[in-house]
Amino acid sequence: MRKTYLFILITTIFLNACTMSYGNFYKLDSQYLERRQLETKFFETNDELKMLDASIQVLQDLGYNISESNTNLGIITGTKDREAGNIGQKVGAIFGAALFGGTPVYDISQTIFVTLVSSKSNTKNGYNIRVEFATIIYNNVGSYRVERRLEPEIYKEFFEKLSQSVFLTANDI
Amino acid sequence: MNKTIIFMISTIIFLTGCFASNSAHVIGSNQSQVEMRNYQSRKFDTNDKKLVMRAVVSTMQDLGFIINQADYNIGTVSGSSFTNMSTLTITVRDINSKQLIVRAIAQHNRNLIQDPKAYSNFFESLSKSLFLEAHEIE
Repeated sequence: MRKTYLFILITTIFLNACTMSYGNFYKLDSQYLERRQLETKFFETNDELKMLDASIQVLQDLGYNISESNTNLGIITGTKDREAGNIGQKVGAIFGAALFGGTPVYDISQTIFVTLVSSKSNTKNGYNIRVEFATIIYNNVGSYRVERRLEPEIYKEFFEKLSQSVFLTANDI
Repeated sequence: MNKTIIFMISTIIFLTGCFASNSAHVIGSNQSQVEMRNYQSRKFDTNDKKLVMRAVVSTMQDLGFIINQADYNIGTVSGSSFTNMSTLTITVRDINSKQLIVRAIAQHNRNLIQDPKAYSNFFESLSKSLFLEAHEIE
């Protein structure tokens, strides 16, 4: 009897592995408009190319390598590799492992992705710039996790730098 | 003893059912082309390719995608999701002077997503975004 239960359990696990449900994929969640607003800033300009030029300059200021650009769609994407984690996290992981056993796990590196998109505003005379950041964070035991960067201060700082870049680029700096 | 052997054989059958041979994946599809195109595609009553492609990009951003590649002339956008680790490639092509076809192909964990619901969710989200493009919320 126990073997039958075990068999049914294992069969169910394998069947689940074969037929994962994707019914909830690609549904908009309740916060998407809020995020869209956080990630978007309006710029008063008639020149989309100049706006994209200033955007590329600011991405270069921030150390991104441009991996894709398409002016027809107003898209720029970029990536950069950087260190991850900090001394506190590392020390904590080592102490934790010493106390409770196991291997200390801490972050060692990250790849940061950016997508920037411009679009003509339908209500005002100018362009909206929307930017989003995401990271893949690798740890010392060879695994990784992905994270969307949703911190409002990141977006606020980026748009401050972009505004500055629009001014600098317009003045050929 | 007999039960143990039956159990092992059943497990092996399920395992081989899950994992096809390497070369089988090169073409590998267990659905007909017509069936797949049917649930992966939607017609839109507009000839404005740029508007639709920009709405595709915007929808992908709303869904937490980072755009990997975009080509207006050939009508493709692809990206990686940072919410569910899937990848999505969208193609937009005009079929006559009044309509466009948008097609989505999604992969997750090295598998093609064959659940029509995932695709209908995407097109529903895209329709919302197209509405937003026309009636922008700021």
